[in-house]
Amino acid sequence: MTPGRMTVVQKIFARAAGAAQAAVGQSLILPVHCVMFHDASGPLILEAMKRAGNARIAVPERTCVIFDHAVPAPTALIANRQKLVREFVLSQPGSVFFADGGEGICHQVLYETGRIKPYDIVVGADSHTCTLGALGAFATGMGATDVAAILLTGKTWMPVPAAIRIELEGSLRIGVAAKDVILHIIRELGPEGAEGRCLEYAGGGLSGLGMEDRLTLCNMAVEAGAVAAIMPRGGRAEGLSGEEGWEDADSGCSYAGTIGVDLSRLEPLLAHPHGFERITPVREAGDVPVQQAFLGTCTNGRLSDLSVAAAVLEGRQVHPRCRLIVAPASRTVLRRALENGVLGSLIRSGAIVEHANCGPCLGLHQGVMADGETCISSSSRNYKGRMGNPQGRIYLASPATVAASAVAGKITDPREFLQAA
Amino acid sequence: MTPVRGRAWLFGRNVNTDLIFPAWMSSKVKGFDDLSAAAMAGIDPEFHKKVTCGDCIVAQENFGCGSSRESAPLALLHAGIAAVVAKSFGRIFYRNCVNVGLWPLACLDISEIRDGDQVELDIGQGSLRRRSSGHAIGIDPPDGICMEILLQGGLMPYIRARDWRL
Repeated sequence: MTPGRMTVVQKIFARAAGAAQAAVGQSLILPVHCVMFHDASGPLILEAMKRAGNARIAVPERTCVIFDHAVPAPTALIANRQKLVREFVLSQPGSVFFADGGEGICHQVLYETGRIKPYDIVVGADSHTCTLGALGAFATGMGATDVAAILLTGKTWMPVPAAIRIELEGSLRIGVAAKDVILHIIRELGPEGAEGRCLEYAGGGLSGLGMEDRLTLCNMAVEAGAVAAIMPRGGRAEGLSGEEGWEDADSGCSYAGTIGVDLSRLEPLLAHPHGFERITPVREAGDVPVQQAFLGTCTNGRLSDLSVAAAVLEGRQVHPRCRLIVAPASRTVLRRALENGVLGSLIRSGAIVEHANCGPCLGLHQGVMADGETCISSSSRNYKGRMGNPQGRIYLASPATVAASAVAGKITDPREFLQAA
Repeated sequence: MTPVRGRAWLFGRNVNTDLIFPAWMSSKVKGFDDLSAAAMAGIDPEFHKKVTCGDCIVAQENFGCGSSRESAPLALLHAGIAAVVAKSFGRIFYRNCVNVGLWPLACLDISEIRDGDQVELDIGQGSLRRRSSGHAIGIDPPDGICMEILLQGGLMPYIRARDWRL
C-alpha cells in the first residue's frame, strides 16, 4: 500500500469534504447531494422534526419523496399517515421532488430521474439505497432521525469506510443472472462480512453487465453488511448522462479484502429461509413445492427481469397450485412491458400483475402467505415473517428461477426451460 | 451516567430488524410515543409484557441487521430496554440507537452472561456485572460523535443545540 493512494470511496469522501485526502476511519461531515425518503419512513421523520421544533426542509432541491411501500394504502391508519406526509411535503418549497404512489419503488424512480451523478453522496431512509451505487455514487441507507437531520442541515457525518474489491471476470452463462452473482458474493462474505465497508466492483466481467444487472448487484450489498457498493462509470452501461466526474481507484491503494468472481463458473442459486446463512445451487433444492412466487422489488423488478420471466413462461402456464405475483419496479417499467408484449405474455401465462410498488416484499399487503406456505421471491430479504406471516417460508432467487418454479409449482432450475430454446 | 440494574435478555446471531419490529405489527402499536408492543415481536410477541425498565438485551453478532427501520430501536426503548450489549451490530441499527438515545454497547465476549441474569450496567466504567457472582465483563461504549450525540439525548437535541448545524 502506497501512502496517499485512495480507493474510490476514499476519493468520493475527500472530494465531498473538500479535502485532498480521506483516511479510512476518519469521521467527516459531508454535504448530501440527494436525500430520499418514502411513505414508510416519512411518518417517523415528521415526528423527529416535529419534536425538534423544526419542520423546514433546508435542501428542498436535493430532496426526493417517493411513496412505494404501502400503495395504494391498505388501511385507513396507513392512508392517514401518508396524508400527513403528503401534506408536509406539499407545504415545503416546490423544488422537492414528490412521486405519490404508483410511480414506482423509490430506488427505481430515483434512478430513472437521472439526478444522480458519479461521486454524488446519496442518502435514503431505506436500507436498499445502496442500489444507486450502480451510478458511481456513494449511496447509503440511514434511519429516520439521520435523514431528518439531513433535511434540516443538508449534511451528514460518516466515517470513511474501508473498501472491499469485487473483481468480476468472465461472463454469465445462459440461465445465470446478476441475482445469482450477488447471492454468491453474500455467501462468500457472510451476513456481516462486509460490515461497515464499501464494495467496489471492478474487472473485465463488468463489460457484459448492463445497468439493470448493476442495480441488482448493488441493491443487495447491504445484506452482507456493506455500507454501500459502487460501480465504475466506464464500459458498457445504459441510459446515463455520461461519465463526468468519475475517477478510478489509485493503483496501489489499500483494500480491506478482495474477492474474485468468475462469472462463467456460477449457476442459479437459492437463499434458504430464514436469512443468508444457507445459499445453495437451485439444482440441489430437492422437492420443494411453492404456493407463491413473487417477481418484483428494487432488487429484480425491472424490464430485463420481467422479460426473462416472460421468456421462461412463453407457451407455458403458472402451476394451478401456485400464485405468481408480478410487481414492476416503476410505472416506466410497467409501460414498457405493456408496449413490448412482455406484460401480455405474463398475463396470458396466468401471472397476477400488480401496479408498480414494493408489493408483498415487506409483508404489509399485496400477497401475504398462509401458515405453512412457501414463497420463492426475487426480492432481497427472506427473514422469518418478512412477507407478513412468520409461519411462511421464503426462498430468494433470480427472476428466471422464480418463473421456472411458478410453472413447475416447485423450486426449479430455470436452465431446464431456457437451454432448450 | 448512573449504573442501571435489570434483567439480561439473551439473543443469538443475526437478530434482524424484521424480528425486532415486524412490519405486520405497525397497525398494532399505540402510536409513535409507544411502539413497545412490537418490541422483539418477531421472536416473542409477549416480550414487551415481560420487560421491566432498566433491563438490557445481550446478543451475539450482527444484532439489528437488515432494514433501516428506526421503529426497531424505538420499540426497545419504549419497552424499557436501557441498552443493547452485542458482539457486533448492524451498522444502520447502531446509528439509529445512538440517534434515539438507546445505548449500543459492543462486547467481544458475552459468554459469562446467562439469560435471566440480574445485571448492573455501568456505562461510565465500561462494565456489565452479574449481580449473582459479582463478575463483570467489559463493554465498549460508543466514542467520538456517537458519544456526543448520546450525551445530548439523541441526534435532534444535538443539532438543535448547534443551531441546526452538524
